[in-house]
Amino acid sequence: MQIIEAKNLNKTFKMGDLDIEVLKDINLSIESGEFVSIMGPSGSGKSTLLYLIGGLDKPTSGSVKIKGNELSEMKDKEQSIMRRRDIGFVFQFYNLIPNLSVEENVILPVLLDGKKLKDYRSRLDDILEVVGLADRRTHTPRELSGGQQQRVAIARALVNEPDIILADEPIGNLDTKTGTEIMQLLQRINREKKKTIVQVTHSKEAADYGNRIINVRDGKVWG
Amino acid sequence: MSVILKFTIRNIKEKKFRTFLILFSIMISSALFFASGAMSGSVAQMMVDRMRSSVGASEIVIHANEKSPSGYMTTSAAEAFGEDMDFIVGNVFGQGIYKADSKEIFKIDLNGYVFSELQMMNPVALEAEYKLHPFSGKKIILSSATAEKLKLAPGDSMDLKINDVRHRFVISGIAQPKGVFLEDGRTNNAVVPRETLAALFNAKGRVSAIHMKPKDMSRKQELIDSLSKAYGRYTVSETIPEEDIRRGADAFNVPFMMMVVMVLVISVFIIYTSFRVITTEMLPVIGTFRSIGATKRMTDLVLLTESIAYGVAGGALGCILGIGVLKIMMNMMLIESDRAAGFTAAVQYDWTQMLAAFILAVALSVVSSIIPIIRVSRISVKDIVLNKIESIKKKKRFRLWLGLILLASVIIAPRTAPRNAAIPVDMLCLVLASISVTLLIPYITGWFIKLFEGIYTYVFGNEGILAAKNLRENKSVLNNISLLSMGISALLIINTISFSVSKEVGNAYRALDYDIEFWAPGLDRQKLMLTEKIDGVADAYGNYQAYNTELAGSKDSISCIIGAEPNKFDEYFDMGIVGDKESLIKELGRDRNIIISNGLKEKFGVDMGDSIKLRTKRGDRPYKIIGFCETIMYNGQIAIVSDKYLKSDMQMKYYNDMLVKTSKPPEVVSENIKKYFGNQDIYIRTMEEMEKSNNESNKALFSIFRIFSIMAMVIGVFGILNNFAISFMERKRSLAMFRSMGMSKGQIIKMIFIEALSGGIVGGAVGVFSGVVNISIVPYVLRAIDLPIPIHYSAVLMAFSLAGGVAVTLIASVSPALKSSRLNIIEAVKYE
Repeated sequence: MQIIEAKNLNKTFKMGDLDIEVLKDINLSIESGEFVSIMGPSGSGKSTLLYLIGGLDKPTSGSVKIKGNELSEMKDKEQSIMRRRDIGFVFQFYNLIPNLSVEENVILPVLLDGKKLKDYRSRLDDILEVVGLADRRTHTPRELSGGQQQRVAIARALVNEPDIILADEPIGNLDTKTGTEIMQLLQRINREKKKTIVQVTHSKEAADYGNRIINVRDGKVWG
Repeated sequence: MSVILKFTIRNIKEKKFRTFLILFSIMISSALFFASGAMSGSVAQMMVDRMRSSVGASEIVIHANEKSPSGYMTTSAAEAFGEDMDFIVGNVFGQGIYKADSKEIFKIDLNGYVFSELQMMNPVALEAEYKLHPFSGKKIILSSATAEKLKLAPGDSMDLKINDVRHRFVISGIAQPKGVFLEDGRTNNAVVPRETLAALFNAKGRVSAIHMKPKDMSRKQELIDSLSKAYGRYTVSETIPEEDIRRGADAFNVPFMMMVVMVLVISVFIIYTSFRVITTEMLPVIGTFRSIGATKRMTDLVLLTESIAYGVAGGALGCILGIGVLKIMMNMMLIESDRAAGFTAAVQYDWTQMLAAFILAVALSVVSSIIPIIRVSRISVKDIVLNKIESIKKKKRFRLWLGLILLASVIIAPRTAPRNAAIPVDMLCLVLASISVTLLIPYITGWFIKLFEGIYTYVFGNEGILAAKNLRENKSVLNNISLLSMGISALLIINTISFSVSKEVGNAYRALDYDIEFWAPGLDRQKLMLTEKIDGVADAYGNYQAYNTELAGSKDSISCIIGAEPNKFDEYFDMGIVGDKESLIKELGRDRNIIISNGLKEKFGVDMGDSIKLRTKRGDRPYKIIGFCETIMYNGQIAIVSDKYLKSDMQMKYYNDMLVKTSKPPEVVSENIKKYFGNQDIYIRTMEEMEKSNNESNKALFSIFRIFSIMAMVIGVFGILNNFAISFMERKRSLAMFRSMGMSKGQIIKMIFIEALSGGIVGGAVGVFSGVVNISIVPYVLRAIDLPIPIHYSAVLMAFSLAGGVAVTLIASVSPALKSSRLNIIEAVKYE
């Protein structure tokens, strides 16, 4: 089943008087349960593509459909609800709230969705177990290593049980060993929990954890 | 070094709002400090100017007193000092009654002078004249205002009734309303030839007063002593006791200084928080500079230079603004009669006051910024470059304890401090109260959140929980709460004092149970009985009062001693006598007994049964304290004795004034009394008029207070706006993260508003609490300056303060809330 679809996607940024074409006529389709790695050098437009898929940015032209819903036709509230329920984000720099504990960070999307915390207690326990942070639940991000922080970010992305996980350079800020552990974790989540994962990376090793690679260069998809 | 400096200057230029805020705080602080400092001098100058208008350059005056054989004297003994004086001017006073064509009667104050002598002492500026010279015979000079009022022109004749005899004067001059002719709209001054007036009062060759000015001012006291010997039975004194006036005015600026302290505390807080941000922002740059060879000293110096630059610019602007503020304050001090007289407020300051304000500005800036600068200076260059700044927050439990200890000191210290140390101790307590509140705010906010978390979830949903978490942990939000509480506290103090004073003034008048008071010459028992027969007079009371009575063997004095007539006193006065009022008043008449105010009891350190020795005209007389009263009449410096003893000890022949209860409207009875006393010089006021004039003078003072508190609040509000902006910058990333997780624009706005609402409630409540703590200090300050006004707490004022706090934070959060909803998520989340 097709879960993500981009059609004739273009994105242009204005830099002073200049129009920079970051993405040019991108077309792609991702099936449910796939683990796709978008690869490309710096400035190729791969992160922009990911943000357009996640609805964090608007395309200059073209369309993105998530689970058959056209993003550009959605209001802010509908897009926000989609990001809460259907998508989980993982960023290179983790983007955790520094003054909240691990479990408070993980549970944030639940809070945003207006759900009751007590209904999510057991799920929180499960997720923390999956990412291996059950014993660190009361710590704040400041007290965790980079790898542990990224695990918190992954747990947070999973808490609302979205179908899609979008990861932007998830191991870009980590050492090799920790990076491998994180990639293995993502792979496990893809296989065991059947989540569709789209990651952006410039590392071939990281890309190989997925089952499909999309190469982006100069704003275009190659091969 | 110059590159770093250039960078700093660019930084200052780029951060326009922050630069404005720091400069504004420093400027307002130094301006108010300057204005408060110069206030007492200017007030004293205003009083001196008011007095100088009638006496000009006179420095020594001789006049008659109760012991004098006559109201007149010759100038011959003074002439013997001619060589030591610039001038010796004798003058004669008198009064005349002028009946206008409209049958209206005007009282004219006549001043008899030798014209050339008057020109020497207090020059007259003539607008028009008619055969003025030689200035002798029945010639008269009127002020332009009086001439206009009486419709008289130069050359006209003017019939004046003096000592019941009609005399025809010729208008010989019209003078500008200055000096002797400065009038308040009620009085009419005129100058006539001295010998003419003396002759009309059978005092030919004699004068009512002699004015002199020594050639060598340093010999003034010596000359007064010598003249006192020559005029043994007359009073020889300084014409204007400038030193006494200035000392008296010094107490005047204490309440203003209290406000300045509050403003300073708010400014320190703003500058401190701004510099924390400045240093944090500059940290990577400082790291870069240090990594390429700049020394720690260099980078510290750059930050310090920025701080000094703010101080210098703010100080210079503050001094200019201060002069303006002082002018406004002095203009507001002018009462209606001053304005009617065309009197302008003199502004007096010197360069030392200006320098002090300037130094304060620089010190304020440096002291407030030094902690953030030192903190940055301590971070090693490696840690800065690698961004390994220790950010793990330690639980600073000592802050809670320190805050509580300070709060306890603030409550205890003013109550235990000796009277002479009260002002500095109380000022320090105001500062400590603000520090204590700042230290306690995070805990109070935490407790508040804990207490209301359940309600928040119920009312606001999960956004309420998120807002609660932010409130507990976000430094900028906590800073906002602290600032708000300080601003509200300052505003509450001022408004509570204003409220208390107006209430007490009202109470003071309620303590006077009569409708009219009047004064006329020679009010005695016979006139009292006659007054009681006037139409509309229900009852009358002859009031004896002695003013500024000294205590034997001490420098203390009692502002007013009232002589109570045992049978009627209670019906006319409610002095708040503690205990069995009736029997205490009866007791007064049995011996030399006295009831003193609680203010005096504390001031003199005396108790029931003690005796105080009053310096009376018949020598020192001991009075036994038999009771106390609670009143703010005469600023609470008041005592009551029996009229019998007061009259005999003070050798009083006449009542000070007559108090009247009416059976008809007071205005009607007032007219009847005026008519009854006919041509006599009578000064009469209804209770309503008294209250009105008192309220007017209080209003002016409290308008100035209000300006101070509003300025404190304005700085506070600017600080809050700045903190909200800083808070937004700091939280940009986390807000973007919330958005990436699916927080809608509406949810972000809701969360920020809940934060603002809660911050407003906590800040408002803490502000009201610290305001109440600070207000509890105020009576001790007021008592130290002999103004024992009881403080009345107003629930309405407190509720308004709380609501004001919430309104301020809600308004201040509008911009960050909108900005947050328009945030570029990618830019904010992508880069570290």
